[in-house]
Amino acid sequence: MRRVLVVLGVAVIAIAVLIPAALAQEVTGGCSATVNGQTLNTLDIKHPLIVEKGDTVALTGQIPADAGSGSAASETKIYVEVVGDVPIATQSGSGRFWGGTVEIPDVLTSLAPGVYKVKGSAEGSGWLCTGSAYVKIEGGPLTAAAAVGVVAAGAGIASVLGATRPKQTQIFNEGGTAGATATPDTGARLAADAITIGLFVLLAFLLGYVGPSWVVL
Amino acid sequence: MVGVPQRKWASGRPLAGFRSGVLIGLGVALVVHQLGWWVLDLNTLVLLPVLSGLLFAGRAWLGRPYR
Repeated sequence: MRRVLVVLGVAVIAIAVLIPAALAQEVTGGCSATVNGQTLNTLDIKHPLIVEKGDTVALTGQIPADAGSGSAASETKIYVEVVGDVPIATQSGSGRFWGGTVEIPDVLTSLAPGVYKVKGSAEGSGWLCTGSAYVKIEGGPLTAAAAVGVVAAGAGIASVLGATRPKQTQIFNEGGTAGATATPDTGARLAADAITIGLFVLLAFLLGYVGPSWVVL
Repeated sequence: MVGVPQRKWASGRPLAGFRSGVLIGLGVALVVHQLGWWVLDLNTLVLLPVLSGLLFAGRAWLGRPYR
């Protein structure tokens, strides 16, 4: 019983510390910005911009009103977030408008479509603006990423069953009287498995489904 | 209770449990991303597999119950 409480307690504490404050998508620095004509704050993870193979994503906006000369040069960098920011385009501009256009790489639509967080930063003389939006790249139902995921998860599930199995000698040393046969307690084992699966689902929910809309990286 | 042997847990293999948990976390991260439910980022592609590994390492350390 003590061992069950230790595992459960550590797991609950680890999950609890993952809960940060909620933050919405927004543009910082006094600029205005749209993606394919839609304002950024409407493109959250539940309502991403839908793009298909061959489509382009156009990020455009106006520099801050108090930015001074309207003819000054600006530079826009566009990133896609996949464990850190991966730069995908850098474009120069001038005047009161900033932005850039990115063509969706074919490798994404064929290998790993899905929802991505696209971020942009624009910088000019005396001003800096940043913004982000969620983009859903449409692809086929069977993708390489999905196949790899199914194989990895399947291998993990198969091997975790073996990982919980004790060596035969341990059963006699810890689970029963030496020299006697110990009887498996199936009910307690299923309860422990159910709690572990429940904690995993909670962890995945907090980190994945809710997490991205909280975190600005 | 009289006559009911005390339940005892026999530990499994925590390292193997960690490895399994990492695989499960990575696989779930990729599949759920393909379903369009979340993005691939630090949370889902690194933190989830590591914490999943720790969770399943704990489960393996707990092992199986016997009476």
